[in-house]
Amino acid sequence: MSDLDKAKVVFVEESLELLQAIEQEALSLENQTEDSDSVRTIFRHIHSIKGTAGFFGLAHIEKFLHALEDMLDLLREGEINVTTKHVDVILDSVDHAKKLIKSEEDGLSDEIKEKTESLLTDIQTLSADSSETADTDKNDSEPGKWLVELQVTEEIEDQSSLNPIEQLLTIEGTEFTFVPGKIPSLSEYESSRIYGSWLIEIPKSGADKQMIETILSSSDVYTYNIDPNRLTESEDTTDTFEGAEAEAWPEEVLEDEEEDVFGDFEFEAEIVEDDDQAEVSNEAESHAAEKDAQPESEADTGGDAEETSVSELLDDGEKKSIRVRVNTLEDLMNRISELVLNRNQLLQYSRGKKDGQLSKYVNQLDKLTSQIQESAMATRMEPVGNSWIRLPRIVRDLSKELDKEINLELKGESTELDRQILEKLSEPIVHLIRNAIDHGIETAQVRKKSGKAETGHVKLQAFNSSGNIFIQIKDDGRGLDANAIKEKAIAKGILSQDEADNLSDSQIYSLLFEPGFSTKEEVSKYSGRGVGLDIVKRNIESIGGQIYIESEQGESTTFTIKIPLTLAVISALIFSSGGKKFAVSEASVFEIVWMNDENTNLLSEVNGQRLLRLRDSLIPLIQLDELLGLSGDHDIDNKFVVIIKTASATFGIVVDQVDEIQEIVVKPLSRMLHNIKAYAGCTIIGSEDIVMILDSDGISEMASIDDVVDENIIKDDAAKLIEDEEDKYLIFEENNNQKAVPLNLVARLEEFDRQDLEQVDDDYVIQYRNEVLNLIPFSKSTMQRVGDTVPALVIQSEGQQAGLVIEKFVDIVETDLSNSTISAKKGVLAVDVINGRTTEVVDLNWFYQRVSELQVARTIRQQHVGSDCVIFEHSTFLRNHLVHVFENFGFEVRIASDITELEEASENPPSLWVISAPAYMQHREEFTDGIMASDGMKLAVGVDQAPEIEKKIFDAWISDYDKDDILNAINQSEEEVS
Amino acid sequence: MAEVHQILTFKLNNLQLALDVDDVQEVLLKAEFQKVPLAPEFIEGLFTLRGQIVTGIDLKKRFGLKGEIGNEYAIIVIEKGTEYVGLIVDSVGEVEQVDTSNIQPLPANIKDEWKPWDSRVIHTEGKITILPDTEAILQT
Repeated sequence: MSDLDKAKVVFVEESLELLQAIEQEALSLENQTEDSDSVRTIFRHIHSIKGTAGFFGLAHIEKFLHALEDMLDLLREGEINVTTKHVDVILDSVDHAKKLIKSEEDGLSDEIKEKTESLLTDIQTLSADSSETADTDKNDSEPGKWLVELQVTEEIEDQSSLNPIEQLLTIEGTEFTFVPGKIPSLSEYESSRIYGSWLIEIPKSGADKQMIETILSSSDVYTYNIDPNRLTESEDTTDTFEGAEAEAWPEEVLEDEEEDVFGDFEFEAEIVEDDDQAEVSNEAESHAAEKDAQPESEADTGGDAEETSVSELLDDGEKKSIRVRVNTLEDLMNRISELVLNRNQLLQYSRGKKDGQLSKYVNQLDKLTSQIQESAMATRMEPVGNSWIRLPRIVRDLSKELDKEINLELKGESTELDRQILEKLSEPIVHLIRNAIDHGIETAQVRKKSGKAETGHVKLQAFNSSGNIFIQIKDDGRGLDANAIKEKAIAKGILSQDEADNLSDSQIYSLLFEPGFSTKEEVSKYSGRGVGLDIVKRNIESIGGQIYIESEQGESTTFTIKIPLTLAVISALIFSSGGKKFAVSEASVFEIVWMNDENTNLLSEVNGQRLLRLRDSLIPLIQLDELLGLSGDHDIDNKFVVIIKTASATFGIVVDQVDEIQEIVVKPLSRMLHNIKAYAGCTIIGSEDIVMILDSDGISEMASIDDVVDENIIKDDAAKLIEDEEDKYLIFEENNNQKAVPLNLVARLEEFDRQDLEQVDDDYVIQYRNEVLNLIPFSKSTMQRVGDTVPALVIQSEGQQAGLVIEKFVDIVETDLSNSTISAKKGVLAVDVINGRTTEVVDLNWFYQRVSELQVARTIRQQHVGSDCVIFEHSTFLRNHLVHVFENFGFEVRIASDITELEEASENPPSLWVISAPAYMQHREEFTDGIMASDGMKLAVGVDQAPEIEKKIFDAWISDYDKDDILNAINQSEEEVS
Repeated sequence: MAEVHQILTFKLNNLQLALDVDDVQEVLLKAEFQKVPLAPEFIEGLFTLRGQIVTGIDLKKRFGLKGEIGNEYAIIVIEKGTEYVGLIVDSVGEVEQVDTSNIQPLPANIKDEWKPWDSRVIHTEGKITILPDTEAILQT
């Protein structure tokens, strides 16, 4: 492929993008005809394409677009007003230009050529006059003469077929000019064809338009246009390209525009040249090949790929994206999936090793892997709006055709979806929208009669919910007639009368997805042929999605598409049942309930279906081991209930043990396992374990629990967190602010005597009921504000208890906070007004964290009580830091600030030497045998890698001065010693 | 010169069968199968192979033949699109070159049970080798 060819491929792609953008603008032009911005944008785009077409010598495109540009110029200048006809012709021209650009010049079919001509005529007509009727008699810009362009398109078998032309010659003053066309090679040359066209000028005095029309229409071997005078002018100007430009553009604009067009080009071409292997050119090539092969279907499916970057490309005129082959992305994703798996294995391995250094690196790797994964994921995601660009046009055409006024509302365009999925969804969505307009929306008269607005409303909406993406198509049309569907299904033999009687409405609606089912009596061009909905359903299911119908007769019909587990890596809850591990997408897990003795009273049974009463809803339970035919006691005592919420149902899965939440790589199941509804995929956990990922919807379907309880009142997750069984809160005051804690989390409210408190760092401990209770001040300054009596909330969690020191207890109130504003502030769950004061509901999570940190610190201290250490470090700052660290570890610390002090210290050797590496290096030669020979453990700090000789001297070394790292190092060598 | 086709032969009970070598990724001699609840009987379980999940198929059960997987077996791993499948067979023979002209449609005297597998047969030196179609094996 030559560079020129490559550039041409880029031209094709870019032009198609621009044409797509023009289409958008044209549509907005129609809604708002005064919008000269749109006209200007269209003009600019057309001009760009025209310019580049000229650059490639594509004169036929240039000529065509030039005419269009002239018309736009008039619109832009306000010389003529924009009418629907103009919009029509722009849209038609866009479609046509796409075809022209996609086909090779000499491969143009006659049909396309004819279309060019007829469009040109339309453009001329509209350019010349703004009046609605566009009376052609007024079009004579050159008074006194009719200009006829005539092209013989058929083989001339019989000379008499040209008689009408000769007849024209008999009109006095008529002049014929022959314009030669492209003459084919000798092998293809047919002598019975005429390769070229005539320009015929006929004096108006000799004939009127009607007469010429009558004469010419008596033969069909040629096509002709009467009065294409602007066209002939523009034909001249194609040679004097510069002149045409100057006419249409003020000079400075022209310069900018020129730069723009060619600037972009060079940029694109550069990418291609830089790297011959570049995916860019490969992709472009294959694109071009596809287009050559099937220009029609390409036009039909709209080529989502091109549309993708339109908006980014046009927003500010600069490139922010490059094209990457989808395969490359896929490849990257697969590798990353493997990396995630590998990381998980490494994490598990390092947990078993208790190696501080290893954990540190693994944790870094963990974080990085997650970030890489996220970014890579983002590359695959695309806003759904990208594939909706075509819809307004489709709706416009269709509503014109069917003579229905339709208002299309798009919502949630920015919802992101995996691009592959998006591509597969594009056709089904178009189909459903066509359906809605054709079948759903009634004619204006019918709507008026039934008291509806004459304009029908179709709403396309995308949104996220519980880990799934939903796409809804809703129309406010006539709704579905369940009885009619039923009758038709019986008539078609799809089901028997008995079966039909037992079906719920939603089951009846789903009959529409049966192959060969159509309810509309007459078949239209757009829908109603009974092929469609079954294919829509199949397409959606092929990407793992589902589709449901809801309808209210006479009111509306809603199709809901649900796309689950689209991403390759998901966060999943792992649990075991019947001796096997399973996973379920964390997003669909609502909560987990442990069925201990205390809450068995929440269980009840209706018609053999076990139900769990959870707050104000009844949740059906599924015994997973039983459902999957696994061994197990099929019992519920002391097991866990994983509450799952899907779009259609909420239910609980009874499992033996809940393990953990983990990022897992979703691997597809073999085709041979697709029939089992229970699974959405599988994954590898740890080194070898294969875990089946459960499909929540499939499970609920298998257990047929959809209809058992449909009134589950489940509130938002956030609201749930602050929801209390009795809605009671403990209010306290802190630095003149009011705070609240759910009362059920508070075991007791105590007041301690300050004298009994013992300080440890910023926190305190106290002997409380024969135990040591950690006391954590609510804020750093709390202790300064409390007096001799210290109020504290004793809070219990996982068998541990600790005290939260507060400034002042206020009250216990009963209030409903489920509608509070959720707070983004750290440590604060929500904000609401209680007793007339703004109150923050405290998130106790940070508190529990502090408790567990304290617990660890205390254990360490106990280990080292009675041990001493000598710290040898020159830097005062670092020395103080180390002193603080080791004192907190429970050591009795001695300091050696220089070598003399160190030697003194060696007379009474400590159990631990802490030697800073720089200090050691400086005094390496002077280290006495006394120090080296002492039994005490020797720790080097601030050293990256110990040289061989130092390895013999030091028991442990770390690269920094970090508290946790030091602790790890000590613990490790202590373990080794013991 | 006649066109040559490469096949990998294997045994199920005392039947000789073969697969197109192009379909075969590798042959394993053991694997740790992990059962899938509710899976069809012919699916012995899943196992991992270098980070991939392979679906193990008991080929005897798949073809409706008698007999169980013995102590010694072989797994022929094939890759089809995105899925990996391990066909469990009694033993694996050699990679052989077959003259394409020797590959023929199923003769009438062969039992009907081979028909669903789009099988063809190979005649060599009086021996008959059944050549089922891998795609048909994976169809549901």
